[in-house]
Amino acid sequence: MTSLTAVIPKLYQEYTTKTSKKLKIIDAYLLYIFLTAVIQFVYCCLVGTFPFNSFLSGFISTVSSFVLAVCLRLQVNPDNKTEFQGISAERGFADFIFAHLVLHIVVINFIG
Amino acid sequence: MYLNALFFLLLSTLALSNGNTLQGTIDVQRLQKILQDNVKSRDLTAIYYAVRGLKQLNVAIPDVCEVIKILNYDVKNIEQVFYLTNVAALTNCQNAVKPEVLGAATVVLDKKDATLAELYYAVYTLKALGKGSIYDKEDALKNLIQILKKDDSPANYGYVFALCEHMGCGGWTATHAEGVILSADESDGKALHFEGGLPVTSFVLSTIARTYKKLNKPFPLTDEQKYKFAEYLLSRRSVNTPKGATLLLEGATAIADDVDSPISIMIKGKKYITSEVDTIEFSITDLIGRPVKNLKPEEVIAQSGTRLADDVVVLSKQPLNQKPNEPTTFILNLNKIKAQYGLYKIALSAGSKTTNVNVAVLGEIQVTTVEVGIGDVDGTTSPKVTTVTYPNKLGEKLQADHMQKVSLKFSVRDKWNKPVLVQQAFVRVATQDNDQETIFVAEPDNAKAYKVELRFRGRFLAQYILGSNCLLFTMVWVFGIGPREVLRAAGKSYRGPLPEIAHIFRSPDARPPRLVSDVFACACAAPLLLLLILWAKLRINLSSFPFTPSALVFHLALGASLGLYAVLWLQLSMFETMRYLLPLGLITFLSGHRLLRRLVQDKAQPR
Repeated sequence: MTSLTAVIPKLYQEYTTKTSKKLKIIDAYLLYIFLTAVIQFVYCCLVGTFPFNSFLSGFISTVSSFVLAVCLRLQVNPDNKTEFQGISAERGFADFIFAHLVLHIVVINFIG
Repeated sequence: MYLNALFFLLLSTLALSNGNTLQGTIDVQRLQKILQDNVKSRDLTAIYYAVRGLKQLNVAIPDVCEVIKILNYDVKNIEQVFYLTNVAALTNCQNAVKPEVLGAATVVLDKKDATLAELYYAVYTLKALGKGSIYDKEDALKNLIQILKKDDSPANYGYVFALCEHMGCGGWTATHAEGVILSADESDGKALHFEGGLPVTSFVLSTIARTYKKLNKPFPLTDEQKYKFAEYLLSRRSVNTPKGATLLLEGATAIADDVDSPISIMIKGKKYITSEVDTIEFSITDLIGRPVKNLKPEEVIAQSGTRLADDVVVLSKQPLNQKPNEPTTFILNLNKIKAQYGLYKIALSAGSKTTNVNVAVLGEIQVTTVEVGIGDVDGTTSPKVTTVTYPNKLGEKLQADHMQKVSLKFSVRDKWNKPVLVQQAFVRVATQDNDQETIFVAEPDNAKAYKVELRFRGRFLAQYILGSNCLLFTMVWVFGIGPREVLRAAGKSYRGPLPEIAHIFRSPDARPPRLVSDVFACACAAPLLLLLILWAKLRINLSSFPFTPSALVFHLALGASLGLYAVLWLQLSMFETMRYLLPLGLITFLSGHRLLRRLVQDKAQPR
């Protein structure tokens, strides 16, 4: 237990100091997406799924956005440079924008 | 509790197909009655034929002498004179005949252009009066042949044959008879007769038969010809006049008296068996209903019996029993097949003659129980089954909605409780006042169980109607009354326009109160605020935003695309959206490409 209390501040400190600013921006975005999804899910549990397609499109939108953001984060992270040889951060961002445009036209169409 | 089946079934159409036997006999009793009725009449022709026919039958002839004495007739008419003299001769009343009648005969014989009929009448008048042969045999025959050459009809040949019989020139008859027989007309390929109908046919046949008998020669007809002449005579068996009756009798006797005469095999009485009466009686006779000559009872055999439905052989070489005291009646015992309902073809032989006879095995059926079940239309759940026993009715009311169906299952059983198939099984469903009805056809499955699925609406009465050609009865059982809410009977059972179909969409569920929705909308938006706060804390460096045209265009185009999505959600259709989105996307792509390339370049060459 003591180790856990010791680890968490250490972890936080490591994060704040060692993580690049770009990644922190993406992490903040991920947190936002995650919280939105959680609130939608809570609504669904408390009030009900009707209209189901609206709930589904909203929830899928958050999940997909989260996945896309994680992908972006992986590609932008300098530690993963060897993994994504020849794919620059800008290229990753362009893919992210394109995927979002495609995703959200589907989501809007489905939301009803 | 049994339901024994109910209506009688008629089997009038059961056919006898003949091999080489006849399909009937001439009813001699009926003909005799016609003759006996007419012998007392005042008509000379009727009396003549009646007397001649009764003589042929060897029946006592009443005394007609007084009648002929007072009859009016023309003494110059040779035909009437012929009738009169012959009646007198047959009844020994020669004294009742006036002597003037002889004159008519001599006039005819002296005539140059007398017809053969007149000559025949004249000669037989003289014979009846006991005047013997007037003709010189050779010359007379030559003269007759001369006349015959002018008109060689079968009738004229008949007269010559008859005259020859009297004159003793039977040899000439024997040489010409076969030619005359060959000239007979054939109708429908199955009956033979001479031009002139029954009188000529009967006259020629009986004359030839008598002549050949006198000559001790066999009758010159082939078997086939005998059958065909017999068929013709049978087709004439409904005659009513004494002339017709006598001619029919003479013709038929001429054929029946032959050594190898045609025989008739007929079913006597009913053409079916039941479990109570399992025998069929056949009547085997000659053309005029007498026992067949030279037929030993053990020669009457049912060669084979086959079921018509599936050609299964059910009996072979089964002898028939002669009924005691009735030599013409033979009994076939069908005890073995009385439990197998159906139509059977029996090949029967009597001596060398064979025929095929169709008989039916009839039986009773019963339906003891019916299972009524209500199940889902899609068959996902097994139906709830209620069993109803005859003759009870379904006690409870059946309730089913449009997602359910009513199915009936029953099996038809014979007297021995074995499942059988019937030709017709229907379930009739009607309203109680009978103004609407639907009839469902029940189809059997492999286990011979009948199943019907009913689709109808309203309060209905259901009954069975079962029928088959092999049942003693058909049956009707009203087995259920009850309101049923099921799909409307579709198809032929409903006439007129169907009601308009109103589609009902699923009604929306109750939405939560406005407050709840608003709170959650705000809650969903709240993380956005958090995001902005976090980004602010991270001190995003917006100062390095490159204010180049490409960057501005890219951000504007991307924002416009997202704005277009919002418009799509609110009012546009997908096609319209695509029309706007494609140029927007192109602009976004080009500007974004330009912007990002610049960023990469900037990174590569730091200022």
